[in-house]
Amino acid sequence: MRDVVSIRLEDIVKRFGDVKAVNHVALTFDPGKLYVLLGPSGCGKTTTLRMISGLEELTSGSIYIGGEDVTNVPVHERDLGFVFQQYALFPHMSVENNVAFGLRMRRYPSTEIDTRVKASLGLVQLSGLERRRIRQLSGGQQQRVALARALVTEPRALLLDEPLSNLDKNLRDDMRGQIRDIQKRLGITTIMVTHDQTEALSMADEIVVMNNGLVEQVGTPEDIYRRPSSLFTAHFVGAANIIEGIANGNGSMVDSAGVNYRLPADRKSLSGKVAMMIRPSDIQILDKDLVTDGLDGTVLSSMYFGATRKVIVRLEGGRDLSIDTNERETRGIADGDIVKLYYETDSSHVIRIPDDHG
Amino acid sequence: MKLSLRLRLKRWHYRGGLMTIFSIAIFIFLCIPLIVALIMSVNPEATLGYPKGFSLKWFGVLLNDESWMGAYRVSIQSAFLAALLALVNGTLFAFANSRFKYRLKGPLATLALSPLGVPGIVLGVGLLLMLNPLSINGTMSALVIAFTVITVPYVVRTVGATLAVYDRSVEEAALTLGANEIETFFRITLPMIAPGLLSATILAFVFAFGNLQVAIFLTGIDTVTVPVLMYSVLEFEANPTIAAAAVLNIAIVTVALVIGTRMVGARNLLRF
Amino acid sequence: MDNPIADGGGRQLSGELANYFRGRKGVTITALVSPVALLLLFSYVVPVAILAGVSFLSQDARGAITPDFTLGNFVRFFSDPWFLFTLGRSIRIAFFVTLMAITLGYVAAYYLVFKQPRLFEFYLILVVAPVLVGNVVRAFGWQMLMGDSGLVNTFLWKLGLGEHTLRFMYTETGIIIADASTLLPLVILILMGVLTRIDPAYIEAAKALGASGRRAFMNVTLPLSLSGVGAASVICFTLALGTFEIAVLIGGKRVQMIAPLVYEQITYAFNWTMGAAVAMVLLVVSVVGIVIHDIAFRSKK
Ligand SMILES: Nc1ncnc2c1ncn2[C@@H]1O[C@H](COP(=O)(O)OP(=O)(O)OP(=O)(O)O)[C@@H](O)[C@H]1O
Ligand SMILES: [Mg+2]
Repeated sequence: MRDVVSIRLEDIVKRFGDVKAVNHVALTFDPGKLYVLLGPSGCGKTTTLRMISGLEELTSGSIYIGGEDVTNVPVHERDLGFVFQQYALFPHMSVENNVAFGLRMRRYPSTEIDTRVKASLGLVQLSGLERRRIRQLSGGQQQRVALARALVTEPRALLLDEPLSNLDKNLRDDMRGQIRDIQKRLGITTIMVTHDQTEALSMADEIVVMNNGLVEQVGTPEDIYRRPSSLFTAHFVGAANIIEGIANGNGSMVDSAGVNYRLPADRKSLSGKVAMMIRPSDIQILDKDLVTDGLDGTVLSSMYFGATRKVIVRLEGGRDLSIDTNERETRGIADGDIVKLYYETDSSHVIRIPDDHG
Repeated sequence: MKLSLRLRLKRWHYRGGLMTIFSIAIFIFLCIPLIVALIMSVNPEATLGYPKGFSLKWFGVLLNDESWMGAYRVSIQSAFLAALLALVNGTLFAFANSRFKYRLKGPLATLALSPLGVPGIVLGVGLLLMLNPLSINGTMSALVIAFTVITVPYVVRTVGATLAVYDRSVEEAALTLGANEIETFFRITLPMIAPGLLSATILAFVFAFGNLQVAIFLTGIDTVTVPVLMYSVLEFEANPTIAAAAVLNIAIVTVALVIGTRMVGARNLLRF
Repeated sequence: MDNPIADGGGRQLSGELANYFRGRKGVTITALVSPVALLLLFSYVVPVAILAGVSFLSQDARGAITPDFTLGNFVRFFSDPWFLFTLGRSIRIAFFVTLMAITLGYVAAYYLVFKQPRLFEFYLILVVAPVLVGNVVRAFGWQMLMGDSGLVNTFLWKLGLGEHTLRFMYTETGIIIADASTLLPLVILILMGVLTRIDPAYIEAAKALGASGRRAFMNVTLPLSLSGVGAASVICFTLALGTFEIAVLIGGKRVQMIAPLVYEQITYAFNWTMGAAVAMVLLVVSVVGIVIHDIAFRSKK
């Protein structure tokens, strides 16, 4: 039976010359969960993952796997599975030999190698392709060989660097489910890198949002989406309407145009500089004759996406809000229509802006 | 629909007809001396001229001639040893240059390729002047050293080009799967650059085998190479044996090329 | 930079390999590089240096080299009309060989790269095989073709055109034709490398903008390949200057070139110091060609 381990990063730093790729990151990854490192290009996701695997040396800090300090343990003794973005399959070997490689390095008897390779290829639904050359596989099949190769040795944890970014959209959706499924079945601690927020939200137990070599926020997908702790996270994960203003400590805030907004229940006591985030899908567009409550605005433009329609509405104070609506509800809407906007106060979220913020 | 001749010619021209014919003429221009050697070698008479019959007797003469066979032994041995030495050392050098930065890297890399631009005669005289006082001139070692120097650039260039396009994450994958550095080198790196190594070896062997300009200064009585023997035969007493020898050389090169193209393909072998 | 280990592309070699080599980096590099460095030093740099040194010495009456510095060999070379004429002729021949090889080579390379003929690999082998067979065999073949009663003249004679024997043997024309054929493969390979690197999108774009095939070639392909043509010309010129096999077997004693002159000075005249001086002249002219090309190429950038 494989060990299910935790992974702990203690204040790790990685500098490349003058570039601080990873800047004092401390994190704990709990056993058996799937973590997603999410962030824009160049923020240090790959570097973090490579440091955990041992492929990258730390500038400072330490890494613990299952309570053991592995900072100075070389890659090949760390016993972690790694899936590379470009798969890095061995082009001069068959599928079977690719998968068997790790077992051979561990000197398993050949009968055991055979059964394990079979089982592992079965797990990723590639039975029957044992003798194929790597060149003769499609992108999705290569991706699954890489996964099987990483899993067959029953590593202590699985590290995936943008494993799905080279696949087309349909296949990507399919593979998301498969990876999640396998991970749950094996109960293996998994860290996956992506810069695709949908992927992160749909797959993760917990998301680690990174920016500029720093961790912005750690939390469940719902935490990250509903309760971002910073403007960066609010913008980066999902679309957001951000309204900056001053909270007065008695349950409401005023923006620069003088418009009043009520704060959600859990933030009523806030005061000082704040930003309110309202997700476009949380706003409803209502006929101005039907309600008296709500914000007045004029439709500026709308864009049709099939199941949804994106509408931009200009409020009376001059602020533009973007709204995602069910396309059926706003059928027949036209630019210039006068409308009322309605959202539940508690669906909004308020972020305190530190005073030194630009 | 019938096209006028003029139009048809024009179309043919657009499809590159003229260029095709012209290019094929150029390829023939390149190969014609080899074709001539083939024709001459089947002459039943003892003169070098257009054959009036067909006979393979000069191949028999060649294979039974001790001085020719000795030259083939010397050439094959020295070229093979030199190719091996050039391969091992050139590969280490190319490997170091693709993976590390060090102070003399630029100058050394230029130096390693520069024998390609030095006239063979110049290097030959230089080696003669150095080796003669050491009295190793005329030995097999002298030939091997000289051939290694002239073939190392081919190895450095070919293997360097192979390593430059080599995807290193494959090595990293092996490390994450539990292979140590040495296992990774032998099981992953080496097999993956093998085509480059093979084509470098074949090129090195063939160039050493065909070299005259350096070898002519360094051969001794017991170490006459095939090109040197051919050269002296051509200068003094030409007969169809030499045509047979030329054909044997063509055969050796063809075999090397066939092995190479079978194993790695013509484009890889010649780096296209 | 705090990490001195880096790969060729300037990106630092990172990770495990860097770890592995860090402690032993100096030792590792030395071990990998020194065999080739030593080989080059002792069988290339030192011999050429000795050659340079010997060219400034002279020989006594018994032919032994005396350690007295003299410019005599070079003075003799540049005051003797025969030596000068030989040098001039070698440069002239090299020039025409280069012209011919580049012209023909460009057509063949263009054909192979842009027309991608079905027999591409076969043609590639046809191009390379003669090089691999070696210059002696090729010179022999040309000798058989070019003699007064060689295959070309025999053929003409059979066609009834035999009144005028075509003279190739012992002429500069013969050397130029045979040498161009000898150096053509290298030129083709270099030019193929250059043409392969031209992005076909440029040519497509020119055509899409209404340029005819010829204009697209003149305004796009040709200019983009000119630097490669320059490099190929220099290499071809250098090699043509050092022509030996063809010069001896086609030109004979009547069309003396400079590389055979070196050989004769040493092997027949036993005039080692003079031979070394002539070799130095050959080397210097070759290097000057390369340097001129380098400067021309750099100033264009
Ligand atoms: N080997 C290296 N040498 C120098 N700089 C590097 C190296 N590897 C990464 N960097 C730099 O470190 C920073 C972080 O890179 P990293 O690859 O971790 O980003 P990432 O978050 O994975 O981005 P992406 O989403 O584009 O893959 C970048 O600025 C990058 O340029
Ligand atoms: Mg990355």
